[in-house]
Amino acid sequence: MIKFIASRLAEAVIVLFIGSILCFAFIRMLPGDPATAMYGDQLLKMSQADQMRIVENLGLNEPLYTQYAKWLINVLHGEWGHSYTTGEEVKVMVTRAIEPTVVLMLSSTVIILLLSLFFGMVTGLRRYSILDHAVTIASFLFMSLPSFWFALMLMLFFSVYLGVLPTAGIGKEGAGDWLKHLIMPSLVLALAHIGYYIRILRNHIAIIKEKEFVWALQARGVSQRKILFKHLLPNASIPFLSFIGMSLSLTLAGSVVVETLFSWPGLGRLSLKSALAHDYPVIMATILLCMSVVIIGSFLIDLLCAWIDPRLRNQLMKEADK
Amino acid sequence: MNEQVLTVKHLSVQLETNQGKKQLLKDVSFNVPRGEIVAIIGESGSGKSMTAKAILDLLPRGFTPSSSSVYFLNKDVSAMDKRQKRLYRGTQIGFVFQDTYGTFDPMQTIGQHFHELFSAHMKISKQRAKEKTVQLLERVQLTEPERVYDSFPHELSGGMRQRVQLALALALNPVLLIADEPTTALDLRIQADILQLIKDWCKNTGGSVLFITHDLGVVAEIADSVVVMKEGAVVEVAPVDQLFDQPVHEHTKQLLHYYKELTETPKQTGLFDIEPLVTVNHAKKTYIKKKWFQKQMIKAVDDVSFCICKKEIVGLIGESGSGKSTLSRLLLQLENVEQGAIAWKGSLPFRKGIQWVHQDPLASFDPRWNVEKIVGEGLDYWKEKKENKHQQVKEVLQKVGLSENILSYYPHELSGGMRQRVALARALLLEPELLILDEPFASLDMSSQANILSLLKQINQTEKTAILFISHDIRAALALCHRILVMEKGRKIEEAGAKELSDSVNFYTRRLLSSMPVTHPGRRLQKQTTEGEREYAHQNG
Repeated sequence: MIKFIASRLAEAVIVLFIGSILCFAFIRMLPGDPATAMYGDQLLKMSQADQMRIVENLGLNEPLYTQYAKWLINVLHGEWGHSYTTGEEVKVMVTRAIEPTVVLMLSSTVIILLLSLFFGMVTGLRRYSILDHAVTIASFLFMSLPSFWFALMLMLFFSVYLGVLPTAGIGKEGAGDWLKHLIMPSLVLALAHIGYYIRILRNHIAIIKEKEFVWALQARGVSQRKILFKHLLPNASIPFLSFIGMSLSLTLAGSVVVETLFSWPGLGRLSLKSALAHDYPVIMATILLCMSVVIIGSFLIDLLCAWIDPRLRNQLMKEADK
Repeated sequence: MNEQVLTVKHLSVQLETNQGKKQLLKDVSFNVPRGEIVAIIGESGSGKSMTAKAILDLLPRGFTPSSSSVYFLNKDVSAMDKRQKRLYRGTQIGFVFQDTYGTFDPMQTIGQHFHELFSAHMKISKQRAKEKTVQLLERVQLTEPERVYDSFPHELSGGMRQRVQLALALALNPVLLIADEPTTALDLRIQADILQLIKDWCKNTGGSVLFITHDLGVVAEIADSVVVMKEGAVVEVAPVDQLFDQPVHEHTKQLLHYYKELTETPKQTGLFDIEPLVTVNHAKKTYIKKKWFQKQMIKAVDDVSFCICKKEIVGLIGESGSGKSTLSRLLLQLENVEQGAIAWKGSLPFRKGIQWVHQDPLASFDPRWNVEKIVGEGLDYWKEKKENKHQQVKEVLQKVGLSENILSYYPHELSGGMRQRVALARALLLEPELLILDEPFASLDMSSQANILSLLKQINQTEKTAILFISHDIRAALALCHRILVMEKGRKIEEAGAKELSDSVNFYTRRLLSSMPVTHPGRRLQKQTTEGEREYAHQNG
């Protein structure tokens, strides 16, 4: 077990290292530079010497590998640098943004789990029923509608016409207010992908329902409810769970749009803002953080799957053993 | 005394499809008296398993049985309510099925399966359930029942899983045991053990058994009376002796004829042509299996020498894990020998001269290719003979007894016997000097087995192809081969002509021979003498 975790950790470090190199290089290939982004037209009016001084202050005159080495050494010392635009410490900015994003992702995952477990199971057991067709149509609808449009429609309906939900920001006046602010963004984030989850669970329930052991259990006189929750669901949930692990990055990518639309002060909005401003240190920090979230998330899902499925458990052990 | 446990009266089953109704079972009627073993025999697709499912009232959706056709202890099963049905299925009837892996939930231990069964029908503590389970596992002669209790299904071998299934079926002391091809996928020796267990249970508890099989040998071994089914209908019901001695229906006679072909006592003796085709000299192959802390060496093939002569049919017999398949892979040069040598003396180059027919033909076909493409593929890599490929494919199909109509069929549209023929045709197309057949009968029913058997003999005679026949089925090998090699744990332990082998004095070979089912129910008593011998062999591993 410890071996398995250690090997996964080592993998994670390698992935993060390679990822950071790629990001570092690609960000600097983008057209435009931080100086222009910061000063705009004013930069052109400055003297050549002033322009050079600004670039030098930002440390951008050195060769790329020196820049990267310096950045890496600083990061390993826990020093992430300061934002080019606000001058604030990157560490502070990012830690402030983590919590809202994690809250948003967790709440949308809970919505996804509740809805897709219910609908996936019901439609898997009763394929081609009226409910199944309705759910299929609805999930394709949500999958194909762009989430920004859907978000705007929700705002129009709940905020403008009904006036029950706030359009933007995070609630700070008590739990009720906080929840009200959370509903729409997490709903949009969840519904954008929920179709995949429902269909995966539906198909696997339908496959496993036909397996001989289900038949054997019936013939042994085990009740339907027990068969469903003790046998069908655990067997069908493995592909479902690993899909959740894989789609973490999808959810994170979706959160950029959702957070921007709802002015949610999370990582997604921060990374978009910093990317527009060529705020190199902030971009690096947010990207690496997103990578770690995905890596940790899928690791947890793997552990969960191994916990449920003994065959997977053995396989993971063996892999770590090599 | 002769109370009927199960009565099936005019049972019919219909399937509703888009193209209208399809009659799957027609007017099936038979009885299972208390304390007797009734066998249903028929080819695949004759409706045997369908009948079993209808008896449990567990037909899949879309299949409608005729009502009031199944009576259990004189009670109409279709009139039971949900709770009664659950009790009926769970406590009154036990069942054992062919697929030993699929009938277990892969995510639960064997112990959990038992516990669930117990707690579905009675209040029982976990401790008590475990005690009972271990007792049951001991009763089906599983060594280390405690370890089996904590194992997952995939950690057990097929034979062990079948014993567990039997223990599960007998756990609640049912009145009737339904066994659907319980031994078809197993070694003959394990088959003999399982049959003995079922017989013992029947004798000791007075329970009844409904035994479904396609193998007349198993019927001769175990049944008291026999129901013969064909195309969804019962064609003959008779006591077992009468069925073997005076069959009435044409289909029964046909089955008996096939069975005779399969169990023919060998006439040939080996080695009439001494020109060797391939010689294997002290071949050795070891696999290394990594475990947690140690490496385990598995000697798959250990110092084996033999030769196959031209035009000869050589059988390679052994139980699963004896190294037969590894040896065939070495011959095909799919793997290399560690020590020793394999020398090829044929006129064609090494690999071209050898063709292989896979154990599971379906797995060796590309599902998106039709028969013409599958069979003809060999020619694509052989530049000299590419012309009139279509004609050649047609000819070779004719050789294996298939019409050219099936050229455009896809693998899933073929029956098991046809698939095996297509695989044979593919191998024969290149006119090999040696055919390697790996368990060619494993997935076939009796009549297809008999047909393929005579086809192989014919090919051997007309095409002068040498054949290496790999199987655990010593019965089929005796009927087909000129010479037989017996392997155990990677070693060749005996080599003899087919005729001589039946009188072998080798202990292991005798054990294999004694696990063959009797050819006629009248011989059961004779066999009792060897029973003790087998028991002894068991204890000595």
